[in-house]
Formats: sequence, C-alpha cells, structure tokens
Amino acid sequence: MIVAAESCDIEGGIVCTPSNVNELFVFKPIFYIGEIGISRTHFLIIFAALLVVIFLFAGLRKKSVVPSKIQSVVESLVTLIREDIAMNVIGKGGEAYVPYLLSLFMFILVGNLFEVTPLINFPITSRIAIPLLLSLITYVLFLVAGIRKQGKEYFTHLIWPPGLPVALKPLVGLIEFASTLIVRPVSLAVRLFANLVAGHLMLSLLLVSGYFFIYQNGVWPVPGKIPIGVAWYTFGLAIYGFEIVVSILQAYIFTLLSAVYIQTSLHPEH
Amino acid sequence: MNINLVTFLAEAEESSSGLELLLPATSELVAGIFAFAIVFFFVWKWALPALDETLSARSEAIEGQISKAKNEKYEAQKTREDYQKLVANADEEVRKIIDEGKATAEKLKEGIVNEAKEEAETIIEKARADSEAERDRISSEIKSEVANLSLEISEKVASSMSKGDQEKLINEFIKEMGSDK
Repeated sequence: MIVAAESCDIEGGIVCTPSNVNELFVFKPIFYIGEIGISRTHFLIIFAALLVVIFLFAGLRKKSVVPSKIQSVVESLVTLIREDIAMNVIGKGGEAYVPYLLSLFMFILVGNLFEVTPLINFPITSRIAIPLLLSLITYVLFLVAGIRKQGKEYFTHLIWPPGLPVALKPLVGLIEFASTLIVRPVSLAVRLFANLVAGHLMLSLLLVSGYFFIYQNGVWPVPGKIPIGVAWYTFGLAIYGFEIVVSILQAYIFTLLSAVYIQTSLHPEH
Repeated sequence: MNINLVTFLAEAEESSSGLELLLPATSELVAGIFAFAIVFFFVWKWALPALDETLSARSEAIEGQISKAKNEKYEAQKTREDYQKLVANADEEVRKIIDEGKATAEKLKEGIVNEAKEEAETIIEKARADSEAERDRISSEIKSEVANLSLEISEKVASSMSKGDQEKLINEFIKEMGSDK
C-alpha cells in the first residue's frame, strides 16, 4: 500500500496508482525457477511451510526429558491440538487426525501471523487459494471419514437425520444438503479469508493514513496534521495487537471446526 | 473532486468487479498444496513420532522417579520402623536393666541388712559372751578377792582360832557366798 501510495501526486492531479483495486492483488514474479515465475505470495506460502518445519524441528530435535522453552511451546501446541481438539472434539478415532489437524493449525497460524510480521506484513491466508485449499482438504476428509464409517447410508443420514418426519424430508433435505455439503466448506474458507483480508486492509489503511497525515510528498512534517497522523498510528498499533489475537484465534477456529466436521462424520449419533 | 479523481474512480469501477479477489489463483493453489504437503509429511513422519518418543521417555523417567521415590519412602519407613523397634527395645532393655538393678539392689540391700543383722547379732552375742566372761571373771575376781579378804579376815580370825575351825568357817563362808550369787 505504501509503495503504491507513494506514487500519488495530489498536486499533479494523479490521485493514486494503481488505477484499480485489483492491481493491489497482482503479484509479479520476484524470481524464476525455470519458466515458473515465483511471486512474493508463492514464496511466502512455501516460506510459511518451512517456518513451521523449522519451528517444530527446533522444538523437538533435542528430545530432552526436561524441556527447553521452545520445546515447551511446541509440546503445549501439540497437546492443545491432540488433547483439546482431536481427542476432546472428535473422541474415539481422533488420534488418527492429529497429524492433519496439527499441520493445519501450524500452517494457518504461521500464515496468519505473517500479517503482523515486520517486513512481511502479508497474511498468506488473505489469498483465497489457501483457505479454500485447506477447507477442501477438510471437506474431503470428513466426507471420506463418513463414507468409511457409515457406508452408503452416510449421505442419507447427512441429509435426512434419523427420525425425521416424511413430510419434512424435502425441505430439511434441501437445507441439510446445502448447509453441509456446500455452506460448510465455503464458510470455513471464507471465514478465515475474510477475517484476514479485513484485518490486513484495516491495518494497512490505518498505518498508511497515519503515515500520510505526517508525511506527504516530501513535506515533513505536514503542519497541523501530526496529531491526526499520530492518532491514526496509535489506533493502527492497537489494531496490530488485536490482529495478533485474530491470527491465533482464526487458526484455532479453522482447526476446531475441521475437527467438528470430522467428528460429525465419525460419530453421527452425537 | 477534480476530474482526474473522477476519471480514476470511474475507470477503477469499470475495470474491477472484485471477483478476482475471490477466485483462487491456480499457481497459489499449487504452491499451497506443495507447502501443506511439506508440513503434513514432516509432522506425520517426524514431528509427532519425535514428540511421542520424548513424551514416552519423560513418562518412563517420571515413572522411574516415582518408583524410586516409592522405594525410598518404603526404605525410609522401614528404617523408621527399625528405629522405633530399637527405641522400643531400648526402653524395654532400660526397664529390664532398671528392674535387674532394682532386684540386685534389693538383694544387695537384703544381704547387707542380713549381714549387718548377723554381724550385729554376732557382735551382740560376742558382747554378751564377753560380758558373761567379764562378769564371770569379775565374779571370780570378786570371789577370789572375797576369798583373799576372807582369808585375810580368817587369818586374822584364824590366828585366834584352831586350824579346823578356820577351815570349817572358810568353807561355810564360801558356801554362803556361792548361794548369795
């Protein structure tokens, strides 16, 4: 945003470049591997995965009986996913989903925290591809789990809960079909995506606004506007703290909901 | 609002439906699949087994420590019981020693008293015998003295009497002395 905004020339009549909002989301390749152009987004997606691997490796390589600080953090995170999500939410059979849920949580968490990471300031989950991909994996997983557990009756039970009056079957069937098979994956993806996009935009706007109130086109400081700029900056910093919480919370919610969906397939009686 | 701004906004509105934002870029999907696969395989094949190994080792270590602590507690309890037994035995021993001491003292006391009594009796007896002997001696001496005196008297008397009268008188006198005793 700042780079884009600096191209503005108010006195010259040019309000701002780029000329439309979509250009903010076009990421040009920063380097090439063969003929494949790697943009900053691609790089950050891979970088997020590598950071997760490095973090887990750093935390678990020593295998000390008395854990170090980083080992304690990693163990706490794994325990959170294993005990509080996989075992408590899914219940019996939940252990098998721990690798997936842990990977999901860590990947989303690091991807989200890029929003508030200095010099990165871009959450990879604010690109729809990532939330959509992860929600599709969850979708496939809970469908497969349901089919393996309940066989052909899975879809019947999914759409028409047992004991449903015949008269209600068309209506409920339609609602359940839409809510379970369409809305679930979409809402899962959109929730994460929208939260991170909103947070990212809000943070960018507040901090860029603050910057512009203080510094405009080489004028430093802009007379009379410093208090406004400082106020925006302060508000932006408060939102910055808030976004850290949002990043963690959204990773947790996505993982938790994935576990809930898997649980509904494995234990329909609940 | 100047013309440029109006033009810019109009162009932006025309050229942007915002739909691009909601459509996933294929290249990002591929990158996402690749990245997530890296994370998943690492977690599945290395991180969780490593963590389980660590937790298992820790669990064993804790169980070992608990077991060791239990053994130490048991040993401590056993030692305590032994000490308590020793203390109890010592009390009993002391009591026994005291009782024995008391009994010995009683015996000694009794012996000493008896010995003292015997000695006293012996002394008394001896004293009595001595006294008797003394009395006899004194009595004999007195008798002898009396006899001598009698003899002196009798000599004096006898000088005026015949020898036969003298002896008769002496014998009667001695007889009387003996009966007086």
